[in-house]
Amino acid sequence: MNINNRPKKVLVVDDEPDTLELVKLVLESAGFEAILVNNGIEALAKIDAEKLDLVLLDIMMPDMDGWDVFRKIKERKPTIPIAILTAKAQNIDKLLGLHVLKADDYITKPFGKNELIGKVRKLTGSS
Amino acid sequence: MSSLRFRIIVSMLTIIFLIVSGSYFVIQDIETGIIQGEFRNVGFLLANNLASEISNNILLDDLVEVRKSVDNTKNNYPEIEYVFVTDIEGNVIVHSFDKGFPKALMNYTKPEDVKKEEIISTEQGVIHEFDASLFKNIGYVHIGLSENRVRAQILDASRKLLYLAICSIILGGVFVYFIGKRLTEPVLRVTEGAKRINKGILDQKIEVSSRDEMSELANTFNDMASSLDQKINELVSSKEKTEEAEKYLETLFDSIEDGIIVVNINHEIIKMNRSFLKMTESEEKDVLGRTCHEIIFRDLPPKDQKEKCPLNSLLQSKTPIRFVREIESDYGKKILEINASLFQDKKGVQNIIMVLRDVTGHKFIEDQIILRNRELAALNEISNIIRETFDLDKILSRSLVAIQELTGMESADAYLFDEKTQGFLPRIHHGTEVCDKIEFNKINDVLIVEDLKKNDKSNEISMSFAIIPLKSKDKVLGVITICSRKSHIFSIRDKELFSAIGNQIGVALENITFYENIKYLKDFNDDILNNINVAIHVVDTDLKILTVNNELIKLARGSIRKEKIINNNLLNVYPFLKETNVELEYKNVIKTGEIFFSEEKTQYYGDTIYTSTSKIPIKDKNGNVEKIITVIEDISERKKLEEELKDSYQELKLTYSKLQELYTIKDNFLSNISHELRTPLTSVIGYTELMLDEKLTEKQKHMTEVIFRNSKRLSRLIKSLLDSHIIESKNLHLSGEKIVINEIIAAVVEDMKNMAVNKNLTIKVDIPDTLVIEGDIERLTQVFSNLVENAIKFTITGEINIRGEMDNQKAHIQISDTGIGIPEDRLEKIFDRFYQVDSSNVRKYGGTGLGLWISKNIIEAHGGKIWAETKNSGSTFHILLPKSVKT
Repeated sequence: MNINNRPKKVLVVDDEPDTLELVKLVLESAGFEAILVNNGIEALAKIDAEKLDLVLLDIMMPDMDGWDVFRKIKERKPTIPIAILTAKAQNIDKLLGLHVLKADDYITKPFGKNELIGKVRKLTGSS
Repeated sequence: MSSLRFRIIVSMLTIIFLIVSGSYFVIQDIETGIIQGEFRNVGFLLANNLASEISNNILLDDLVEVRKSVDNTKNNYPEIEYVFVTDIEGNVIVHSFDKGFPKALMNYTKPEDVKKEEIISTEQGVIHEFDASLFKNIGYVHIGLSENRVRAQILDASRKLLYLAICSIILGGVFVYFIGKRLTEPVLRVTEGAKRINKGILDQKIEVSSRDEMSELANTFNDMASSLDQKINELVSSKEKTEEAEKYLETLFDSIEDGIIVVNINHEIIKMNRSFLKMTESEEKDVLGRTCHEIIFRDLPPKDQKEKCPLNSLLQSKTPIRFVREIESDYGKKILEINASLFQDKKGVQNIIMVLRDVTGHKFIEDQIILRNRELAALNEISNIIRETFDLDKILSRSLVAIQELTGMESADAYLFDEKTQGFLPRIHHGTEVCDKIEFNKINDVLIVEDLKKNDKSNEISMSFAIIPLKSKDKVLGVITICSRKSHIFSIRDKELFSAIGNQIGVALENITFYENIKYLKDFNDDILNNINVAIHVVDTDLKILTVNNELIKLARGSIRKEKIINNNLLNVYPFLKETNVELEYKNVIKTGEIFFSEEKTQYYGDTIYTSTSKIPIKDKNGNVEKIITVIEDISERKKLEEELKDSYQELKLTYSKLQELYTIKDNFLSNISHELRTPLTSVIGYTELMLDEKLTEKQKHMTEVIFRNSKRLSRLIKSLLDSHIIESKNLHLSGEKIVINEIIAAVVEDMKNMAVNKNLTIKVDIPDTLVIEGDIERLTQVFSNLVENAIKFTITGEINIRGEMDNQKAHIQISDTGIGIPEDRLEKIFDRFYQVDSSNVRKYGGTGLGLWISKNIIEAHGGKIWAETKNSGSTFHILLPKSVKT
């Protein structure tokens, strides 16, 4: 990663504050800028407001279905890659995420630090 | 012979000859007269004509004209020899001569009468001169006509006449010959016929075609001949007949089997036939003249006592007599039947004719017939008893009596063949016990011993016996022996009779065995029928009940009786059946010949019962249904059980659906709980890992590492449980991505690096980049992680080798370690769920016992194979994966 470059902005959407914090710590340790929101509405607001490089989206949220948020983000900013972040590790969800709604990647909870950093780097094109 | 014909012909020819020749001469004469008359007429006419023609010219003295006329006349008539004209003086005025003046005329003087004819002979022949006087006798005309021409004419005519006469005679002769022949033919034929009759040839007829007296004569001859012939034939045939009749009589007399003699009133034999001589074994000379009673009735006193002869009664009563007399001859007794009657010969002499018939043979035959009748009676008796009964002892005993009576033997025994001992065992004895045991072993034909001499102590005893095998189809089923203490002559007939009796009883024995077998079978069938626990009845096509079994009676709860329903109509026995389709069902079975099954609920004598019924058609030889066997099973119990089973089934179904519900709840629960568990775990693992990056004391670092390790283990445990659930619920879905094996192995090894380093283990990877397959990258990563982790876990020192190659279109990956190895007998079991090689391992190495089971399921879901091998040190796990997933 080039320090001189502007740090890549990653929007993390999760209803669990601990998880948000954890992801933030991990990403920042790798030089990314993490913007944290805990619901779908805020997430969509950030999408409009910020120039983002990646969205990490939990699809199990109380106020809004993660897939709904996913679709709306893709409608507004089709170019922003979205990785699904979920504890719902059943295959059927995975298939839905990758193939039906064309998620760019899929990160299951719990995730390893290196796994998360690796995937984020890959998706943001900052290897 | 032909003299008559010859004479007739000759005389007729003579007559014809005379007639013809007479006619010839008469005709010739007449002809000559005619010619000469004519000749004269012509001569006078010519002379007169010329005279009148030239008269004027003479007067006028025109001689030229006269000459002209003379020449004309001469030229016109060639027969004119000469013409000359003279004046009254007789001087020639004119003349014409062809051949000169004939010499005879030189001295010719004038005739005074001019109308005179002169015949002059000249050298040219006879000339007739005709004269005519001119007008007023001034002169004369002389015309000489030559006779030659006329004569030639006459000669010619005569010749013709002669030819005609000759021809007439020849033709007449021929005609006469045929006429004569024809006229005489019948005469000749009649003559010949008469000659034939004379010779005695009577069968040829005289053929005469004419219808005159000759034919009548011939017919008379023919009739005479035929009647003669008939008479002769009659005579001949009557003679032949007489001779034939005599011959017949003679032959009859001699060839007739009966002896015939003719005796005179003195009882002396005057004639006899050959049979009589044969009968009395005597010769003609010994018999002729002897009295009949001497010859025939030898027991009577000779000659002088003829009063005692039976013929006396005939002579007295004059009516024919008939009597039977036995005579002794050198060859034994003879029985004669004698008929005697009176007869008178042509001379009126009274004779007696006796006919003697040898009836010895008849008598013998009569005896034979009586014997035969007895035999037949015996056979009949035996066959009757065989027909009457199947009682073996009765048959044998009656047969023994019959045989004994027939033969007059004193004792009779019957033996039967015993299958067990393969010998004959005595069964029945009849009569006095006279015989020692007769030995017989293998006997196939009737054996007869007529006179057996036996030494019994000091006495010699005679005995006779017969052994009769009782046979059926060449199998000896028993033996009958008959025995007598006397010698007994058996005839060939006896032997045949015994054989017949033996066969008959043999067949009877066979029939009895057969009957007993059938009876046994019937009893057996009845046993089955009555002991089987289904109700059975048999009906004919009119639904008349033929047979029922006990179970059917039981089914009716004792309210019907067997005797009452047999031969009754099914619908009468079970009136309630009339309301059902039963009759139609039976009709259908009869029509189609197919079995009909049904189940029915019946109000049966107060009870509701369930029955299952089979109507089974029984077909005759032609394939038509003749009987129907109905098998009725009381299935009330079964129905009850079925009902219960139905209830249980309903319950089970309910339970099952509840269980299904529970499963769904469990599924949801697992799904939810895993999420709920993983969310906090994410924080635990994440922060712990971050913590390890902080500056910690060695002790803090160690403790953090323990937390990190165990939280990760918990994570894996949760994942395994979830996987296990997925596999169990058959929800393992695989994605199909392109996988470079080397890459995912590298990621796994990277992940495990710390673990290996911690144990001082090296991991060597040797996989070509070309090893690429299609599969679920995450699941396969899971498998490899699992295997590598296991390898690290169970290895203390040494290394871990990961190799990969393409093997027959499949990716073959081997993960080997130098660890503790796996006992041979557990190599397969390690892939079982919750299996641990050693239960103490759980504590030592951790693990859920699910890893290999999940791995196996994942590999197999890819269409691959996983297995383990163990060597002296360490184990090798093999994975075979097809190039693409078969989903």
